[in-house]
Amino acid sequence: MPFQINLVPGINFEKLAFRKKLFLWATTTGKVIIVVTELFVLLTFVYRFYLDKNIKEIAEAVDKKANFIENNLQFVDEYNKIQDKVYLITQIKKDLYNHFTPINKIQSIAPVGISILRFDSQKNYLILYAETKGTLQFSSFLETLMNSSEVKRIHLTSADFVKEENLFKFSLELNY
Amino acid sequence: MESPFLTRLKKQEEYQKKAYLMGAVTVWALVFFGIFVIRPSLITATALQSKLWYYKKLDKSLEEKQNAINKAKNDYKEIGDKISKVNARIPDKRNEAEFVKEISFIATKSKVSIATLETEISTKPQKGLYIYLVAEGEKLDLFNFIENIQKGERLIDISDLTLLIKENKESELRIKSFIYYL
Repeated sequence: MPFQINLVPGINFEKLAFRKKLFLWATTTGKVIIVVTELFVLLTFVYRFYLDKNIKEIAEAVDKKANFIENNLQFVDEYNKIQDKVYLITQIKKDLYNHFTPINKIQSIAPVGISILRFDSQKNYLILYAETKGTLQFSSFLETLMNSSEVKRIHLTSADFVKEENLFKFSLELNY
Repeated sequence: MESPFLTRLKKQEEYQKKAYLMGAVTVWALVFFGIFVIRPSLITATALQSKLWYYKKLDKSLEEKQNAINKAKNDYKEIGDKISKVNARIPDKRNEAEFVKEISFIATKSKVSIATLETEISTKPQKGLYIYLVAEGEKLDLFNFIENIQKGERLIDISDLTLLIKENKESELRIKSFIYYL
């Protein structure tokens, strides 16, 4: 152990009177606690000013933006409605069926001698009622329909030969 | 006469008690300041910080909304002419009168006559009107009529169509369709 000389006699805490002990504590540990606490409170106080300032600024900005949005509420409603309409149009157009095209096509490919009397068109299928004087035209018509790429299925729903009128009446269900 | 060892032991015990008291005073001071000074300060600072975060979050979402509105306004200006078309295809109200007017105009243009035209308010969730229409005219004119209806301003969804073709006579067209409004 190195040799040391202590010129200031150390205070023996344990030998001090209680009042002096309390005083010593207050000027050492107690002081540190109070200073640290005050420092903390002071920092919080300053930080509070900083926060208050920030909150005030941001609250003003929020108010401004909220007012802007409130003033444009009618426009937003209108715009949303337009968007809903556009969406609805898109959805409807997906399912929209053009009845004219298949009717027109069948009308144009029907051979001479076939009289189409009636078209019943629903989405994706069509029933046609027709009559002819000869079965040859019927078979020719059927063949043309069978060769058509758009027609997926042909169903002969009725076929009737009326001898008195010499007419072959038939109906076909065509699926697209 | 007390033994010196016992005296020393008693003194030691007294010192220990006082040392514990000092420790207790320190702990008490820490707890006291902690509860009555640090805690309120911390609560206030935390509350303010939370408020600031809330405002920042709010500000961010409002800013996004504001930007979206500004963008929508610009888009609206750009597609201004198309909006009237969208509104014509699906109007805000039923506008049966306008639709009848449009159909009559198309019929006249297609040289067909309208025998009956009935409307029925839809009961399904989608707002709209069922249209039952019977038109008469030449076969080709009726074809034109169908085509023109489908090309019309108002969006029309034809679900059923019946065409009765009568040679050398006026043919008949029956349509069941649906028109929308929103």
